[in-house]
Amino acid sequence: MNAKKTTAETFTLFEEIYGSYFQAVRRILEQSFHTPLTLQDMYRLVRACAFEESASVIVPKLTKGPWSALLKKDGEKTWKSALRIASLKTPLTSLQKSWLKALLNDVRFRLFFTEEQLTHLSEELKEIPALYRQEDFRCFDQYADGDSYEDPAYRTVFRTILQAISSRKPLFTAYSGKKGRHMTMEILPCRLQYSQKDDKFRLLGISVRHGRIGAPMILNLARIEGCHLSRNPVPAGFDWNTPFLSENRPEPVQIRIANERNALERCMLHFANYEKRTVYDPDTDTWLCSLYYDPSDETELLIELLSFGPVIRILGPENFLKQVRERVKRQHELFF
Amino acid sequence: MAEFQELIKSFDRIRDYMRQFFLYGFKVRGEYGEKSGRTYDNERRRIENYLSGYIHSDYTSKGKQISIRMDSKQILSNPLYAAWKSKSFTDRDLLLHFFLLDLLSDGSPRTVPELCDDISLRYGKILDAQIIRLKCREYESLGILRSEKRGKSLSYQLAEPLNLEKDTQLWNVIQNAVKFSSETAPFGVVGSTILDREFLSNDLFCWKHYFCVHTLEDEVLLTILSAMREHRFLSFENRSSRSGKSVQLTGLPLQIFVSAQTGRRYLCVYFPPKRRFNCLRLDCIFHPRALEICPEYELHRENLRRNLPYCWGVSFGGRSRMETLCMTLYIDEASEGHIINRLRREGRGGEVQQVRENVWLYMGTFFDTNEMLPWIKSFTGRILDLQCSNQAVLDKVTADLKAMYQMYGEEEKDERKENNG
Repeated sequence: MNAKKTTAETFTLFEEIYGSYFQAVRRILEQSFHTPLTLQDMYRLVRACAFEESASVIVPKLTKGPWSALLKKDGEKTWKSALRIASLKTPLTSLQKSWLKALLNDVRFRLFFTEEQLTHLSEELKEIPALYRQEDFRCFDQYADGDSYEDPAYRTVFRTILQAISSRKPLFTAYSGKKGRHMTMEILPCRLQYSQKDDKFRLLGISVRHGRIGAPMILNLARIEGCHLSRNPVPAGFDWNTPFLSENRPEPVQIRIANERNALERCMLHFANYEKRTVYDPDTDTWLCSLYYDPSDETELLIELLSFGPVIRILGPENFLKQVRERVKRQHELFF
Repeated sequence: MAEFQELIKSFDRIRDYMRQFFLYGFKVRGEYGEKSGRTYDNERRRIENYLSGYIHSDYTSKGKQISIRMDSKQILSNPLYAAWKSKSFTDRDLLLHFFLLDLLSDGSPRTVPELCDDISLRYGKILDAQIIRLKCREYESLGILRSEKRGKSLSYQLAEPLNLEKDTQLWNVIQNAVKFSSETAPFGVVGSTILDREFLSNDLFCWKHYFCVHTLEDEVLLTILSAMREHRFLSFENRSSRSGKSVQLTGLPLQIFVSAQTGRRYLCVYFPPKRRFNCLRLDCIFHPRALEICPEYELHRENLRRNLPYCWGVSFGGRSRMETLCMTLYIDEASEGHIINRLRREGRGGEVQQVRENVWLYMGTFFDTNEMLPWIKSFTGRILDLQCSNQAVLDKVTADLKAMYQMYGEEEKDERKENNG
């Protein structure tokens, strides 16, 4: 078969215009257009946009090296942009537009917009080819009870929550609990959590009662029956990042991975979403792996580990191991 | 000795190392086989620079061990996107980028000689016209510039912004949607570049079951999708992750299979000589190249569509075609209704029936029941009976359950010893 002779549009992801160095230089030029910058200012800006050692390359090149035509000295120790314009934003590239066009068919992307906005978007992007089609992909192990993204009530809840998170406003919610118990609560919405495996959104927030900060809450979006922004003030000193900080992380689960049935690679890929530490043990030709986990995921981790069967051995901690033993023993009694 | 450079020319150089550091993180310098120690040192330093904050080093008897450690529930955006933002360039590339944006921002189209003059007048840099022409062509192909014929020569101007960018309210909504899609949609790194363009980052969403490493396959995926869009055959190198051996393959790319539970992605290919569908891991595919068009592309795609309900995962089975598996479970209906829900939501189309009080049957027919084993073992502790038309599968799961009993049921003392030791 012959190699393709094509003039078709081909995109590449690996382009310098998307690179961190270009981004850092743009940041310096835009900032220095308004306010002259010192060397320290420039080092700080580069550190925020680029990599660990980038500043020591970029700043000298801009101030006294081959890129110095972009800056001019403004005082003894400050520099200004030598360009005529303040904003150096590039037009969206064909790749970026093409990606946005592909998203128009993603039900989760559509959640963010009203029907009117979606019509406007489709119209605007109608000449752009989509980077991919939804049907190019098949997710074979996603859970079948995902959220109903096309349900108008769900869409309204989603957008209200998003508005509350963006504007950092408390939210009143009516929620249907696990056993169908209805409750209403005021919550400080911090983040929307999404799981591809569950195909669900969850709201992470902190409850508020009479203006006082309460407990962290995780609410399934599909169970929120209604919500609206609250006019109550946010309690003073509230940290919007609270739900991320798991203060009482349990001891890591320790497992021994056998050198058989490609167990190591399967394990490493399967548990790639957990923070972990792996060490090879040459005496037994096995690997010892510590998996750090959120206590709310304990059962999920337990069944994931059981699914590997005897190619991994769970070593601890004791309370975790106890649950494994119980299940394995019960299984033996039922089956043999 | 050449000076260390943070940036790289070819993405393939970093792809392999980053993947190994991220996934395994237990190898030491001498274990990165075919590459020299110097290469290892450079790649390690680059990755340390791109991902500072996520890098851990441990010292073992064999040497320094570098790993990338992160808890996906704690990150807001994929740190591995940094690798995509590390392409090297020349000093001229950077200067021309900003000169062109600055000059063309006034909306007046300019020919290459005019750009050449303006750059020299405005910034005091004499650049060769041919270099400017090449850059303009490159930027036109990226969609940043557009050209129009003026007399005998081409003149360039900045591409028109989309109207929706002028609608502040709508553009804000789009930016929020991009914050989400840049971590959840294919080619999320493109979304990340859109956010960079606005100096924004995700502050609305967080993730559960998020697998960062697979972005490293996106360039390969782009070529594959382009071949799929044009109904072309594809030639590629398939490198075994176990043996490291490579084979050159040619087939018809039909669909990308994605696992939400591991993030792993596979290319489903039809191989005409064998008349078989096969799924190959994207991370094992290198140097894909689109070949000629296949006139029967839609026919093969339709055949695949018909077969999909019988794929549990990525296997199309062996010669025996269909296999049926029945699993009977004990479920305490009063307190364990969620297990019945598990069967329904995770059973991939298999039938779920109540046999009698607290006893439930799952039955499914698939090409390869071997793929179901991990899922079956996740019900350890409640399996009453298993039946399978593939005896080997039955034997394997029975042996595994016995081995687990020996491991945990009978050897508590040994385990305690090991745990303490």
